[in-house]
Amino acid sequence: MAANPEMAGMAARDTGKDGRLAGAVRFIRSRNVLSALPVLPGFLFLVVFLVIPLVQTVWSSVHDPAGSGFSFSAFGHLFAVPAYRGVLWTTLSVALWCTVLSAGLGYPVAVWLATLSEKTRRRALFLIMAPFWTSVLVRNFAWLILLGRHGPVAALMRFLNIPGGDALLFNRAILIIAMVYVLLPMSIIAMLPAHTSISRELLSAARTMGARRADIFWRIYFPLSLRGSAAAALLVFLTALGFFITPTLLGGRHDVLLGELIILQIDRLQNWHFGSALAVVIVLAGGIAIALTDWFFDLAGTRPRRGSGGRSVAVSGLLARLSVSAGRAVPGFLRSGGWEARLPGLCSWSIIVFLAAPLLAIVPMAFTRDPFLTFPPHLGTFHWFLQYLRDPLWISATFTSVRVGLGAAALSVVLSGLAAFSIARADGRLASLGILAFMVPLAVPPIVIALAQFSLFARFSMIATDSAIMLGHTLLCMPVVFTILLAGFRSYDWQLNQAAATLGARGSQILTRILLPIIRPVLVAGAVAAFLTSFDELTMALFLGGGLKTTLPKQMWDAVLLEVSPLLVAVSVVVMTVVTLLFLVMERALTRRRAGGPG
Amino acid sequence: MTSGRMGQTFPTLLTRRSVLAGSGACGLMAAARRARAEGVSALTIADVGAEPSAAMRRAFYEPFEKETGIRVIAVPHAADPVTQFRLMVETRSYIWDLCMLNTEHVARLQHDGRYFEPLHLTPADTADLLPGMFSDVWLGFSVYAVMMAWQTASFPKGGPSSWPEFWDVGRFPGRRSLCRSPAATLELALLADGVPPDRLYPLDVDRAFSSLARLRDHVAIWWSSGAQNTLLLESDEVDLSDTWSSRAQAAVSAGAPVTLVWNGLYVTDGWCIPTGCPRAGIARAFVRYCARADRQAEYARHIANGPTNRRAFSYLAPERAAVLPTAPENFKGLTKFDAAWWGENTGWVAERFEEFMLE
Repeated sequence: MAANPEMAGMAARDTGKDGRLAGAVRFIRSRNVLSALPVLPGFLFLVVFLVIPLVQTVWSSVHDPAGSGFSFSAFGHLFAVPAYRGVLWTTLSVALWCTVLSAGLGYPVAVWLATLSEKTRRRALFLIMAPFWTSVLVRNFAWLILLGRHGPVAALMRFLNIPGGDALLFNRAILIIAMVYVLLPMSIIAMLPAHTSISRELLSAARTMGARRADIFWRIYFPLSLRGSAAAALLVFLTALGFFITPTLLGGRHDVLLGELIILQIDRLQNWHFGSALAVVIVLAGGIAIALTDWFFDLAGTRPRRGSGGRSVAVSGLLARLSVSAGRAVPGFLRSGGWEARLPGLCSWSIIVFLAAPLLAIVPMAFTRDPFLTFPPHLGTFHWFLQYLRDPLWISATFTSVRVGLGAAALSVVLSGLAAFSIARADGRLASLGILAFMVPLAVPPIVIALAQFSLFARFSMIATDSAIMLGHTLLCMPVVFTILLAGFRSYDWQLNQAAATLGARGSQILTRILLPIIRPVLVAGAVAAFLTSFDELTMALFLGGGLKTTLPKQMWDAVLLEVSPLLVAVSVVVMTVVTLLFLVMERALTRRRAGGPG
Repeated sequence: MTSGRMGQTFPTLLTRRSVLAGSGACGLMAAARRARAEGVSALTIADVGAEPSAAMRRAFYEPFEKETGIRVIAVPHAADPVTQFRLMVETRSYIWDLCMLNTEHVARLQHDGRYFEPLHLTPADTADLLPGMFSDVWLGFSVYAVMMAWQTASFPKGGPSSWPEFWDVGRFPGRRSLCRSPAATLELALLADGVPPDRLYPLDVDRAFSSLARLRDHVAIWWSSGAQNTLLLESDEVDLSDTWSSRAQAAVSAGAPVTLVWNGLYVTDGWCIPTGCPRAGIARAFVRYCARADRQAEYARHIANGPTNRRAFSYLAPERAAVLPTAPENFKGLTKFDAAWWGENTGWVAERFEEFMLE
């Protein structure tokens, strides 16, 4: 038994994701089979809707439809044509810039959020998440208006006599800013748990023992927050690799990303061979990033600690020495009082303003009397909202989105819930591998998943059905739901079950009378998170949809291609409102649990 | 590979009209009766969505529902519906009975195989259509132009009136934008280089790219969607641009002070029926219905796309006709976009265009 996890660990290191999946298979086999059984449905789902389609994609990338079987011609073509090499390079560099900026800006915000009270933190988080709630399309068109040569920013720059106000758009810089705008909230959310879980007592103990502020930060806080923050940065990088809407609308002539190229090949040229090769390249780039991050930061925590504690600790030690020698380059926020203590707060508030301001500019545009989008709008009509409510197409799209969202939420809560239920009680390396398996959908950009699933669903004539979109969304929701539910099950007191059993409760009674009532708020939160993920998802709907009924984001996309009217903003405002309400429901559910539940 | 074929003209108007009025209407009612007898109560039509769909609802869908009792369900298809259409036929899942395709889509699909049901149009159905506006599997009903637009205020003494002038950055300084797609853009580049419109095809791709290279660094914005183009014109983000006629017209009607120049290409949208469609009979009747002059005139009242039926203009006020691409005055400045050429050459030209953009 002891050799098994060791081997699994080695496999994970050697071959990355696939190795981990293999490890998880072994995990299921090796452990008590009965207790691992609930993992199976979710695991099978991952295999059918992610692994097999991806294998199929890899197959079509090395299988020339015209020529004779096996060939790497598509990859050769990608590297032979300078333009494509350029796109690859641009994609990597834009994704890296986004990662550095999102992680760099997100880190102080996460530090600051971790020091806040639960209630204040939730409010701040709500503002930070705001860009997430707006339709990706409306957001991009808002940039076009706000940064246009007659827009408010250009006007301000003219007023201040700063040149260049008429050329803010369509360049690399604005593309990266617009991408960071979306990725920053994600980065903050993802790294926050790593920050809130750092024990404050540890820091005060260090202070008591006379550690300097620089040492406390660099030698204690930073190393402890490093792994989670690195994971968040990795997530940002992986997401940035698959972007295609923002660069299409805001990038300049040279700013073409791989995602756009995939759309061009598949949608326009029907070149599945080359399109698949591009998708494989994205996955490979992501895989390399995962492997590097894991090698450096030991993401899964599966490796035994050696000697001084590994590379990341060495890095923070070096940083500590550097910062001490730099004298005043000391983050002072870990101590109370003093102007430095306000710095992260100020920093965070300016980031929050950066995130919220464009949205505050968007909302009034839904009430404009002008026939097109302008800023500032001439307010005073509900016309656009009425038009939305009266249009059967929009309403049908809204209901489709709701249906698909509910289906995806139900399915992902069941699949991830069962898995989280059994993994929460396991520990050690095998459990970590199980967790990793359920995180795999996060490692593949949605555009690649959508492309891969397209051929799967096409084989079963399921393209353009609600079920296809629903199943695709379920896959995207699973990691999100799994994370929430795993935390819930981990904080559940399993002795309650034993106590109930001792008192003569049957298994079903324990389930319905004890476990489910206590865990219910977490289930609600997971379901709402899944619904939100599905409700605003465009990429899958774009590839897999297009049938009788489209989802709301898809309908918005179709509308955007032809005309941008304030109607679109009105719809976006409706979506924002719905999402906000649901978000509040989810938060309430989680708070009540924290207040009333155990742990 | 023909996306259009010359219509045969009947010797006398009288015969043609009586055929249209008599057997045409009877044919429609008969087709509707047959369809209802087979239990067909609705047609599902994939169109481009948004504003054109609203116009089609008023001009075609609703009147058709009233006359035949067959309901019309309109759904928007993807911006490029070729993949969806192919898949639908290959998997035999007929989610659409009719699909709105332009000549380029038709050419690309015909290049790959047999995807269309024949329309069985009679000479009477097509007698009044402009040349090249129908084939045995496709019937055009909506013409748009790829043309030029400029901000009236930016050129008080008058802006460019031809593509060589659009390319002349010295004489007409200003922020330019062009479509980020080789189709039509290469044609404009050739026109700018002095190629006469009737000699455009087959495209001299090298010459087109070298012409485009002269302007490339003067193009501030490469637009990628019709909506973006409209927004650029409406918000005065660019001084001069290429544009699609109905989108430009939308900007003008919304109050944007933009001057349109009827110089460029025209592309036609039309109906196709997927091969093997179980409701092909009534779908054909619908296609014939859309060829009618009165219906096309109604359509052109709601959206500034040109009718393909010349007689439609007799139902339209002269002011309205003036903004339509197929009005004789405008139509003479436009050249037919050769979809067949693009059907054969899209792949490598698109690749070269991407390279050109990234240079």
